[in-house]
Amino acid sequence: MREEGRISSYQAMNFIIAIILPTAILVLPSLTAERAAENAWLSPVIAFVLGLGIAYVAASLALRFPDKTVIQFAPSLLGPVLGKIVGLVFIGYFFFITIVVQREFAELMTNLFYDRTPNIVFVGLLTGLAVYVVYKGLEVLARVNDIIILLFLFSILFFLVVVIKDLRPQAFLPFLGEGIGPVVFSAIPPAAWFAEAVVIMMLVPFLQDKGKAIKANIAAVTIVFLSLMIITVGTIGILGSSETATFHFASFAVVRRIEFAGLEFFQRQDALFMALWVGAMLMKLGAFFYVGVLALSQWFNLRSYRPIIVPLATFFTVLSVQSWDSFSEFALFTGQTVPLVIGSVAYGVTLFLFVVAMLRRKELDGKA
Amino acid sequence: MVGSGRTLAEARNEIASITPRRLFLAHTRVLLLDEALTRDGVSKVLDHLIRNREVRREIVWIFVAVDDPIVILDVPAPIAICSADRIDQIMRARLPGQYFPRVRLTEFLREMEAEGADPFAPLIALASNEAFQQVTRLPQDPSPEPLHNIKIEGTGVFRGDRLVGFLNRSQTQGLLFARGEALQGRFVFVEPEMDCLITVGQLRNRGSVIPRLGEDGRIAAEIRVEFEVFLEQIECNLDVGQPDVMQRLEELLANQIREQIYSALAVSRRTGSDFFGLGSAVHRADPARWKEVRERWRDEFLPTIDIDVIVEGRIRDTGTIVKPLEPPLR
Repeated sequence: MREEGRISSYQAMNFIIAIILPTAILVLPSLTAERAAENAWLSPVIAFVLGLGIAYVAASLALRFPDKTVIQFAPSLLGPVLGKIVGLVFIGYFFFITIVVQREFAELMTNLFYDRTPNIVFVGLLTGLAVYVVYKGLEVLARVNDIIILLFLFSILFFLVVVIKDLRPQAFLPFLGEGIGPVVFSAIPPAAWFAEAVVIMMLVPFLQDKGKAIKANIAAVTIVFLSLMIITVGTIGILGSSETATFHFASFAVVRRIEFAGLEFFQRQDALFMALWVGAMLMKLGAFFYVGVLALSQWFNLRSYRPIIVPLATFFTVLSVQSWDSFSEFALFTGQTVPLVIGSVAYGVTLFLFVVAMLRRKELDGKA
Repeated sequence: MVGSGRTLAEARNEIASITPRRLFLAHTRVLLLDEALTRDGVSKVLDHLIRNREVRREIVWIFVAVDDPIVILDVPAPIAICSADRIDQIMRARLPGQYFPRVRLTEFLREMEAEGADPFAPLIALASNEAFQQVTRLPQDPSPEPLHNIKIEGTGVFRGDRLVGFLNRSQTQGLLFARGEALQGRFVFVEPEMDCLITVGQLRNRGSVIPRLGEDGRIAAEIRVEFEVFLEQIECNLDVGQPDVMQRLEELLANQIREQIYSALAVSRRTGSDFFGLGSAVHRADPARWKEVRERWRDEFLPTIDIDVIVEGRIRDTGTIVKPLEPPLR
């Protein structure tokens, strides 16, 4: 199957940012504060180190097969049967995240803004838009994404500017009061999110300047890390770790408290943040849905991925609404199960592929 | 409008049968908790408010209502459009001379949830209005003075989520100084030699709690306060142009603030409410030590540990005149 689009490495970087950031900023502060308490800001640091590693590994692995996606190069690396199985695992990974993102979007909207609206409305709306953008192809997705991610990153800088005057340094003490254990434990979810950067393995064939793939991927992970640090430090510094842990979406709670004495019209900016976040969330869903659909069509050697967009979208919409009965169930699932599942795929399978590629380096080089 | 019910959420039902409008809780500005309720514990009521997606805990001011909150809210507000708005404006105004802490719901919750700290909230009460006159009012007359006024003064201190004691005006000022929040107050102190009252206005204030953890496991603490004030009124002939006079005044003022803080500390020790956050200071400094003492902190350590209060500050400015007014012959 061919994808006719071509994107630049800058667009690939934004693509990876869009893939990690929107959901991460929502739940990270409360998720890490729950165990790591005052040291919650350390967890993203640990996760970042792992994330950098996997971002490098994934990009350099992809560059060994510059014209193939992971679905296409896995069989030539592992042989037809195992290669196809690995491809299937990645397809499952992409679609799994797609479904979780659909539901995550709906849950935030109903939890914070539209308490009486059924989930299916939000899942349906966002999926409808995502279907459209995926149908338009990679280039369109990447260009829209450039605009949205830029605004989104600006909004995070703005967040930093408005919260910095209210930060309470004592909220970060004691340092490692419970030892390093809780901090490391809390680093599991963000580490799993950083590892979503393995999606670069689906993008490399469409890069115009392939030489910059590693740089772009590492830059993306770094930008995501800095954004997450701003959000985590801001949230803990303002709310304190115990109160942060009581929220589902603590970062939004901080946005809500924006207030300047003398600028009374300038409060309650959460609508603005919500608007940007919805855009970013659309990009995240679109990105994962796109790579998933593309991967599946390549797995079956289809000539075009377009015919399978609508059936899959419909199927996922139903799954995302039906899979979890309540928000509590979903929150528990995303907090505990999802990081382990997506983390093990991203780290485990990618490292496995990388090691095999290293071992068979000579053989492959000879072939090429 | 008044609604009642077994739970706060149920009470909203009753309001729905009085008015055709839905309560828009995002506009909640003030929260008056009845004293009896606060003695019983506030978590169960606050739960409904913070669980609600509309309530903005960061703009809601929290109070302990010493008198019936319904009557307090029914006191006519002369300038503001409604009494809640009046209270909100008073809290926002940061005018000098306030004898109460300014506590938002979010700060209250933060102190309540924090390790080794307890929350506190200002008291609100009814006061009789001396300007009230019982006269027959004609239609064209301006609106009359109300019978009551509201009075925001003093502090209610909590242990966990239960109200356990009160701080009076002077103790409240002590608390504000110790927390570095006494930014807008006016303070009166006595010059003993000439027995005269001196009033200063507050400019800057910093306060911190520093734990002193001994090698042998002893715990002590130090409350350190810095202030900067200017003279507002002197009632006797003191030559404040002389640096040594000013220095003596600074010492007197520091002594008074120290006493106010000690007096507030006495309440803290008596009630076991750690509203100075001494426990959280220990927690920050030595989490392992804190783990050993946290269960016994309020009842064993807080009432007995040594606490030094160190107050330092300066009187920056005498205002536009130096010497007080004094006619040559009396």
